[in-house]
Formats: sequence, C-alpha cells, structure tokens
Amino acid sequence: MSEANPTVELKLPIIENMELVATQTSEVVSKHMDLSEEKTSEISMALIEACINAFEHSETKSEIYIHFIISDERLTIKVIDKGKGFDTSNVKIPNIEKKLKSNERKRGWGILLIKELMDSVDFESSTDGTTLTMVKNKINNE
Amino acid sequence: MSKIIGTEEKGGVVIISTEGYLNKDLAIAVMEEATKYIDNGTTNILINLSKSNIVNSIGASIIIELIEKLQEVNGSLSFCELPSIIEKTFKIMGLTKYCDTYENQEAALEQLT
Amino acid sequence: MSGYIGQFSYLTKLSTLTKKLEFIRQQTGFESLGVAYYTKKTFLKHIGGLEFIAPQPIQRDIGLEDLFELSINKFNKLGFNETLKNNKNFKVILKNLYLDEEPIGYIFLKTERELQTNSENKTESILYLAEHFDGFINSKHSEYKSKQQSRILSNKLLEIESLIDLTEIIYNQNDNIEGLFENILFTFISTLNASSGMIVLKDEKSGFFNVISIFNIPEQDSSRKIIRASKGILKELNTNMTSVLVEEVKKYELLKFAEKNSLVGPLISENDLRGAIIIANKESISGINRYTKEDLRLFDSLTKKVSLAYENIKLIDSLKNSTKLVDNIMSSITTGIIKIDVLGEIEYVNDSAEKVFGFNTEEVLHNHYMAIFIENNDLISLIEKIETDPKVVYENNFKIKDLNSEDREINLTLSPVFDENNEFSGLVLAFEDLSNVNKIKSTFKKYVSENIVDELLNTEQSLELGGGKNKVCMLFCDIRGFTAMSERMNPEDVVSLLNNYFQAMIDVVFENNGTLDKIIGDELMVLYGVPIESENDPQKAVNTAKEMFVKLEEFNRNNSSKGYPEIKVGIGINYGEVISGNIGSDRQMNYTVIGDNVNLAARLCSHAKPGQIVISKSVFESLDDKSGFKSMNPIELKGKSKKVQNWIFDAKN
Repeated sequence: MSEANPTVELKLPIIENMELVATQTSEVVSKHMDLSEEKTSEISMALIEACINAFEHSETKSEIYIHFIISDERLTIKVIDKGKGFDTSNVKIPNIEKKLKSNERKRGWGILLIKELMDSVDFESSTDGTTLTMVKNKINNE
Repeated sequence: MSKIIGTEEKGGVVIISTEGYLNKDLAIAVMEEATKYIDNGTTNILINLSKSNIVNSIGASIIIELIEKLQEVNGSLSFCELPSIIEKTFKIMGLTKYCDTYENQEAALEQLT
Repeated sequence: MSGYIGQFSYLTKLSTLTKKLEFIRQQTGFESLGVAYYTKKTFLKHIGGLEFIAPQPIQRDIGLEDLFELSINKFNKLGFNETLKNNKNFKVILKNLYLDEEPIGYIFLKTERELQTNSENKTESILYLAEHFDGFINSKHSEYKSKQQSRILSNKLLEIESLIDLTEIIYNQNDNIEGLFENILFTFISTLNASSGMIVLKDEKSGFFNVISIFNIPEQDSSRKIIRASKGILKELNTNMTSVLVEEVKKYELLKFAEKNSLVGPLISENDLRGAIIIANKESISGINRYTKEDLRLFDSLTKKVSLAYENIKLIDSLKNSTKLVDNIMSSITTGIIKIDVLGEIEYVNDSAEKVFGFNTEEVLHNHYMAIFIENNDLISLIEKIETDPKVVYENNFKIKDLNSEDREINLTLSPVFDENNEFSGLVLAFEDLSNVNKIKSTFKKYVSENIVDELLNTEQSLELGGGKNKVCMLFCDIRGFTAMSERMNPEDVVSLLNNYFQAMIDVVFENNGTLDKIIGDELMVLYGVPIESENDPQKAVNTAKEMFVKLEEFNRNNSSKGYPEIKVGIGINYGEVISGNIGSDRQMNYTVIGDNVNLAARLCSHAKPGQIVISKSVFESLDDKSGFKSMNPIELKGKSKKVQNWIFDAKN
C-alpha cells in the first residue's frame, strides 16, 4: 500500500442508475491518466457492472464505496459493499439456464464482462462485505 | 433519463431509436414497443443506438429475449450505429452472432428492405 | 403368467399360420375351422377343463371368425365355465392351444346340427387338429425366439463396433473439436441409418448452444437461432438428462427437420447439459421409418460414450491448465525443489532450484544425480544414504557448489517418497538459499555487532526501525588536532591511517555490543541501547571508551615505528531519551538518533581534552564502576541555560 498513489473515494447511494455517477468520475480519472478512449469506455462498462453487482450484494445497506487508485502504471478501482458477502469460490462464468429459472436474468454476466474488459479482477468477500478490485494497465501487457 | 426517441416504419422494417443509458427500463420499453409491432406481423426490427452511449448487462439480456421473440416468428433483430463499447459488450455476451449490425441506418435499410 | 399373453400376440400377424389354417381347412373339409388367440386385453385365467363348447347364441353375438381377437368383455360373455353338451343349438367345439404350457388361444370348429351323431368324430378331429396346431405354433415360436436372439446379437455387435469406432475417433482427436464432432455425427448417422442429424455444444461464455456439426439439414437459419437449455427440446434433456425418442417432432424448433420421429441424446459434464446429439429420418428400402426402442437403446449407449469422452477431453484440458497452474505456483515459491526418481534420475526441478544451482531444467532432466551434483560429494553421499535408509534428513547451512563452481549455503531437507505400495519411489530435495540471508547478515554486521545481529534475527522482536523514542547512550570520539596532523601527510597515508584507526576502534565497539551510528571525517559516533536495549548501556559505553584508550596506545606504539604520527582522542558520553529512526530520504537514509541528548554528548566530546572521557550525570549515575571519574565544575554549553554537570576520566593516569 503505497501512500504515494493518489486516491479518489466515492460514496455512492444505492439508487437505480447511480452507477452513472461512478462512470462520470472514472471517465475524468481515466482522461487525467491519459488513457485511451477505448480503455476509458471499457473501464466505464466494467464499473457499471461492478456497481450493479455491489448494489445487489448490499441488501439492507444504503451505500457502496468506490476507490480509484491512480498510479503510474495502472488504474485500480475497488468497489466495496457492506453486504453479507458470498462464497467467492462459486463465482463461475454465467450459466444462464439455471439462473433464468428465476427472474434474475441478469446474474452472472457482470463478472464475465468485468473479466473480459479489465486486465485483472479479484474478489474478497466476508460477512462484513465484499471488495471487488479491478485493474486497467496503462500499457498493454499481452 | 434514457428513452426511446422515435419509432418509424420503412419498407416493412420497424426502426426504434434510443437515447441514453440502455438499462433495464429502456430495454423493457424497447421490448414492449417492438412487441406491439411483432404482434401485428412485423418481423424485422432495427434498433438505432446512435444516441445511446452505454449499456448494462441487464438491458442486454432483455435484448436477447427480444431476439428470441423475433426468431420465433422467423424474423430478425438488427442494430445500426452501435457505439463500440456496446458492440464489445454484445460480443462478449454472445449476442452478436444472432443479429446483424450495420454502420448506419441507410445501409441497414438497404439490406433489410 | 400375465406376462406371456402379450408376448404371443405377434402370432396373429404371422401369415404362415393363416396359410396353415387354410391348408388344414382344405384337407379336412372343415370350412368353419378357426383359431382365436388371447391378446393383452384378454382374460388370463385358465378356464375350466380342456374342452368347452360355447352356446350358439353367444357365438353369433361375438361373430367368431378365423384368427380374430377376443376381448375380456366378449370372453366373459362367452361364459366358458359352462359346457353345454347336448345342446340342440348350433354348437362350436373349442380346444385350447398351448405354447410353453401356457394357454394362448383356442381352435374351434362349428358343428352341424345334422351331424350331431358325428360330434364324437368332430371332437376327436378337433383334439387332433389342436395338437397339430400346438406343435406348429411351438415351432413357429422357437423360430421367432431364435430370430430375436440373433437380432439382439447383431445389435450388440453393431453397438460394439460403433463404440470401437467412437473410441478410435475420440482417441485420435487432436484439439480439433469440430472435426471430432463431425466424425462422431457420421458414426451415429451410419450406425443408426439416419439421413439427417446435428450436434450442438454449449458455448462456455455466453451459455448459448452452437451447432458444431450438421448433416443433411437445410441450413436455413438453424445456425443463427438462439438455442438455450431453458426452452425447447434442450429443456427436456436438461430436466431428464437421458436420451429420448421424440415422437412429436413438430413441437420442437430444433427437430423441425425430422419427418417421423427423432432420437435426441444429452452430452453431460459435471451434471450439467453441455450439448446434444440429434438424429432423425431412419432410412430403409421402404423410405423413412420410425425409430424403435431398440434404436433408442443403441443410441443411448453411444451417446453416453460420447458424453463421457467429452467430459474426459475437458478434464484433460483443464488438467493441462492446472498443470500450468501448478507450474506457476512451483515457480513462484522460493524454496528450491528437486525430485529424484527411484532410478536416481532427476524427475522435476522448479525455478528456484534452477537459480540456486545455476542449471537449466532441460539439461538436467532425466540425468542421474551423480552426474548433476558431481562437484557436490557431500550431497551425493547424503542422497545415497537416503536411498539405502529412507528417512527425512535436515541439514542447516549445508555448503554446495553451483554449476559455476561458486560456493553457496543452503538449508536442505531431503525426504524419501513412497508409492501406493509403500515402496521407495524416489526422493525430494527442498532447500532454501541462504546466500541472500548471509549477504544481508554480513552487511548488517558492518553496522551492528554480530551479537546484536544474531540476537535480532533470533528474537521475534520486530525491528522498530521507524521513528521511536528510546533511552540511548551516545558516545562521541574525536581525534584531537587531526586537521593539523593530516596536512603534514600524504592523502593516501591519511586515509590508510584513519582506516586502521577506525578498524581498531570499531573492534572495541563491537566487542562491547555497541552500534556504530556513523563516521564523520575523524569523528566516531556510537550508540548503546538501540536497536536493542540492554541492562547497562552507559556502563558498556564507558567500558568501550576505556578500552579504546588502551587500544589506542597500542595502535600508536605500532605506528610510531612506521613513522606515523600519534593519534590523540577525546571522548564524550551522554545517556538520555532520544528520537531514533531511519532519517533521510528514499535515496539516502541513515538509522540514527536525534535530540537534545545527542547534542549534549557531542558537546561533551568537544570539551574533552586528549586522553579524556567526559560523561554526564545520567551516565555517571548509571555506572556500576565509578572509579576514576572525577567530578568537575559544571560547564556552560551553548543553548543550555543551566550549566551541565560532568565527570572526567583521564586515561593518561
């Protein structure tokens, strides 16, 4: 944890479409870091999905937290909810059929999208909440 | 916030244009609008997303249902003027296999009518 | 018994029986001769005696004819429990027919009223004919059974052959999933005489099913339809997870190409529907036929095989990936690991092992350890020892030579490995390279006495190198008149002299467990109490100071013979609270102390004349051995309002 990296912290109320507030911030941060248009929109998309997931996990809590950590090599975004958490070993790429049986038709896509659009994704979940950490590198590694 | 800005019919193709965030509400609105036409026999629907800049997976999955609905009547769903991030998202979710995308409305109509 | 009844209903369809009956009618002239069989729906109880005659009116109601089928109702109506002989009405003589000792029907003959007197003859005839018929039916049945057997056998043969085909196809697949499934589809189609079919596989990402191979189905937009397990035929498969013979093909989108019925089977992996095989339109000479239950059985066993094989293919793929994962994990751990098999050949080497020994995995793999460790006889002996007496061995600070003949030290653990029969099957070497640790130790030891370093490394105490307040005893040692002295010498000589001097002084410092803070020019600053506080830091400092003078005297004596000038020093010592820590910036940082008490120590030092040790009150009070220290007049120091008490020890005395 380097103190040297500037961090932007957002507290986002759990209201429908609030994720757009987060994307506004991510766009500005992204431009500040001179990230390309393409990367900027990928970050926004991933962030939308992460927020929607966090909203779902939050249950009775009323806000989620987003941290944008700016470094020379990358933008790290942490999306934190204070819900009751889930079993991270069970996060699989969507199996829509099983999920479609309920009205939760959206489930599962979010994580797939985040994994495809960002350079790395990590989860930490406990009974106090869940933190999703995703990273977009400034330079392409592949 | 986001809405359908217009619906028109040209040569048997129904064009629905949207504006703003293609979220669950907007997608449902599109679905309902499209259903009206499908029930009346329309089989070709074109969605113009030029004024929509972003989508979420819930909206996209409702669009998938629209594709299925159209396939049931042997119809098809097409898109034009897809912002690249929306196209990317659709690709990841696998739905681009099931519909055609066009650069702009004119090109789309040329093919579809 | 009930099981038998339905089994023989095929007899009604045998044209040979009808022909036989015809023949017998002609031969006997019994035009009214007929045979009736019990079918599934008939009464199965053995009725009364062997012979029975039904009353005429009943017969008329039923309308007894050749080879007609009797339903339960009609049978009951017939009331065969009663035999009505001597009935003046139109009579029928019936005789039960048996197959495998089970009644399966009866043969009957209408009798003419006029020929009543000959009814005896008729009865005899009927009995005779019945026996004949029994025999005939029995032989027909045996024929039928043997045909069935041979059909079962040939189906089994077909099944085995197809399974062999499939196995070959699957074993020969080389990452070309599409080609594999095309071959599989062909096998199904030829085995089951289908004229059309397709195989769909689930796309792992999107969850939709894609058509992976197709045969003789018009493309239409079958490739573009969204196929999900939540609807259509796949939903059925997903719920039941078993092959089905589908009759209502028009109901399902995917089966629209089928004309009669279709065979659909699931590909299952990890209890999840991963794909489906669909075939239809069974070809025969007469055109398209329906598939039968037997076809379904064969189809099912083939599908199960494909399902299993597909699961294995995916397991192998994921195994390849997890092998990669294991490799990744292995390469990231810093413990070197070398596995030697039972023959003594190197079986596995991880990245860290490569680094320590300096070899390349490709070079050492499958080579014998004696060749690889040729410069490490001790290591070879150890391994040999374990091979003969398998047990775990630990060696600390084990010396090895790497491939560049450079010396290294490792902590080594050798463990023998046993197979499932508890036989020795090799051993694993696990080791940590101590070179780095040693490097750090030795560097660190340049600043701190060895004892402290060892103590630090041994205790769990975390090195509070960050800022902290500590009670520290500071010793400053200055060379008096050094500048003047150095002006008269060559620079090289100055440096050399200084270094030798410091060498001697620092030896003394370390012997007393002091911490060298810094050397500034000719000034030496030593700390007692950090990084680890001890019982009597001031005493240690004073001891150091006294010993320094002793050593200095010796030093000077040695030097004077070489013509070097005599070095004279003054020492100041203070004890008190200071702030200690790593002070500086990222690029230049020192562990040091700051505060008033530090300044005081320095001032006391500058106050000391050559050969003197000047100490403060706090030092004096802490000393066990105060001998030699004289109390002096309090001195006035810059920046201090009060005069400072001090005691002086004169080394010249």
